[in-house]
Amino acid sequence: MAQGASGTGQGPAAVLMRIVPLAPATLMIVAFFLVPIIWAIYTSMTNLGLSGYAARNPSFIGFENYYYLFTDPRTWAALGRTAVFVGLSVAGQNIVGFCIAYVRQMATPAIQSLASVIVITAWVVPEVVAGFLWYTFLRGDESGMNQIFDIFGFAHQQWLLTAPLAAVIVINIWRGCAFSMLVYSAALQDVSSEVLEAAEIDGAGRMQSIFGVILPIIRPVIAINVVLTTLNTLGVFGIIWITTAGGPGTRSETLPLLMYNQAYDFGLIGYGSSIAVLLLGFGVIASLIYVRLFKVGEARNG
Amino acid sequence: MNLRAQLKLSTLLAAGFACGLPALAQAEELSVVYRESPYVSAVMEAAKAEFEAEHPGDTIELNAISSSARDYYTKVSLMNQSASTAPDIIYEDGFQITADAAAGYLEPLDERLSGWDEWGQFSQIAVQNGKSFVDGKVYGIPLGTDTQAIWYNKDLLEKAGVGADWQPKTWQDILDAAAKVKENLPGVDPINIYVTKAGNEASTMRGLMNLISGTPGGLSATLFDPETQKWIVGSKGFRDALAFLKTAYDNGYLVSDTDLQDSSFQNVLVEQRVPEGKVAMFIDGNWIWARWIEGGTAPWAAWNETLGMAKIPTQNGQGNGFTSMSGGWTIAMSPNTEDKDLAFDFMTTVANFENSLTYAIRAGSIGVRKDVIADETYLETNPTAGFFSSLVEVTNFRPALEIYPQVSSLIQETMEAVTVGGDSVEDAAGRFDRQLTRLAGSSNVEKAN
Repeated sequence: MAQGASGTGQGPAAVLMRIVPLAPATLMIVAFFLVPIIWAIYTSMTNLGLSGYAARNPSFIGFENYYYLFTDPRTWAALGRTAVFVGLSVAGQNIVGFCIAYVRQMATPAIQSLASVIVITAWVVPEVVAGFLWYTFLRGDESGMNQIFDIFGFAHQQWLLTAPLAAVIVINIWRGCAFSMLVYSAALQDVSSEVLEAAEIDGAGRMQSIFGVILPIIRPVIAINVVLTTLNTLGVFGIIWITTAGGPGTRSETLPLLMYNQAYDFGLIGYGSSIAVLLLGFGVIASLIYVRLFKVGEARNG
Repeated sequence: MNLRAQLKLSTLLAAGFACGLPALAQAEELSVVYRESPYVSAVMEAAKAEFEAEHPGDTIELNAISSSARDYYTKVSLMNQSASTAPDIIYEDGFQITADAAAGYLEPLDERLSGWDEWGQFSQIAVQNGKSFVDGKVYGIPLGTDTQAIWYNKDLLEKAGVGADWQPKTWQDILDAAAKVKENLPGVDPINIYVTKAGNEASTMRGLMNLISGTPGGLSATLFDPETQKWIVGSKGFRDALAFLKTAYDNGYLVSDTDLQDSSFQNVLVEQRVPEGKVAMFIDGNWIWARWIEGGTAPWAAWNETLGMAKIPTQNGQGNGFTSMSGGWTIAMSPNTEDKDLAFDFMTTVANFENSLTYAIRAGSIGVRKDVIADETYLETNPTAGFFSSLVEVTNFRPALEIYPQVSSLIQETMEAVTVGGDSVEDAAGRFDRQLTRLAGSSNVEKAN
């Protein structure tokens, strides 16, 4: 612990000196994090509307929104889609990210930088732009993808309409794998070459050295990255909204899309808030796992 | 006579006129607000001249607002919030009457109307557009309306073996015609009905409502019952309409998925696909031909010979046999007006025969007065007027209550689910019922009989 110039005195002045530096951070957290959360929880127990009578005179309705939420098959369908979306996105991002990182470290430095630039470009492009690029690439008979298919003589596909959930998962993996690649690149550098050489001398093939040596060594990083990408993916809205808007019908409607639809299409702000609170709950669970894994990692390294 | 002399003379005349009529009531000024457009301005200016000639001393102050329909509504709502800025007379979209009457912005007219000798000229059906869905009172005198039908390409239907002179009697007849087009004319889309969220209000009104209004009991048995003031859930007619759309979609009678999901398709359809002969039938409004005339957005000289119009049949040909959906603008009065009788006088001037005729001709809308729709000039200037006017007797209006925009959004979502979304009718309709209950509140919905 740092020993400040003021020493470790017990007087009120000393206490104040400790509190003051913390105040801005605490205030920020309360103002921009705690208050909105409490407000959302409160709103979720009212019938607040976007316009009309329920906008001017919202009334407290207790847990009615939650009752509707959990008895509506639409919520469960959206929840199921969210699980598939998050599960496959996270798995895809981690596997693809690791593969790129692994292949990349074997290349020459010039190729390494080039690969980084290409992958990271996908990541730094704003979500709306990325979504729109994919939308134009996949949409319609004359889409870029179908023109490429023409060259190979494949039948035209309209995946945004025929397989919307799969399409948004692929798009999300494409966009998110750069983050995982960066994380795994750093982790791979920490795997000492001696260990790998030792494995090679013992006769381990490439696959054996990946599964038997590298992955066990970087396991804490994998765990943390999985939680981080889960947190990121849970709230994905822009990409889905732009490419499919949750449709056709409700076939790619995840919880964030359902929340938007209820709050703004139907003006049910209170009900939308209850979905926000549900999402927040999942986020909190993922965060707790993250914190726990982080502690485990620290204990091991420290 | 030079200018000064002219001024002097008119001042003298005015002074003499005022002195000569000591019994004249205090001069009043009525403010009129309307959405600027050549035809509304023409009618308002003519009515102003006529009214001021009949009521010497009283003046009409015309306040034309140049904006989109939506902005116009917002601006008038803002003016209405305070008695000092509220206009006396409002050019009002019939679609907004229920909400504005509930907010206290409009004066009920029933008593005054019953004393107006020309009121009998107005179609009782079209008058519904000036009524509130909540209390059933008339708040606006209708100036014009619109109706919808199935436009079809005569050549294509002839080639498909349906015949150039076509009038379906039931929904099944429409599906049968579509099946023949599908079978005999590859490359032609049999029928366009808007069925997705991309179609927006056109999907709700031109897509679904034209169907459910033709089921037994009509709109009040499938969507909103004005008697009980409740929204309807669990309706068979609603499910039948969804099933009709699903059948049309599943059999490939509608346009492609990409077109259905394209929010600009409404223009593509009318300005390209129809003139190119790529679509055999399409459900649309009476106003659509204005795009094809010279000076329109997509001139097409042959439209009148190529296209025919068929009435939209009811489900099994029951009731009147046909149905349609309508909207249209009205003229209404603020309750803050000081001299209501005088304001009513101006309103009846706006809605008299001559002005209603001008309005119908120049706006290309459907007349709501019997003497207007029988007028020869009217019938000659608009080749479709006779046909579309005849639909006023079977038409319906949307239940424009406060939550209507959300209900409309819900309807679009439900239509999209059973077509492009591939859901079953039962799943989608069940979701509609639950969501409608939540939107309206469970005390404001009732189960269909």
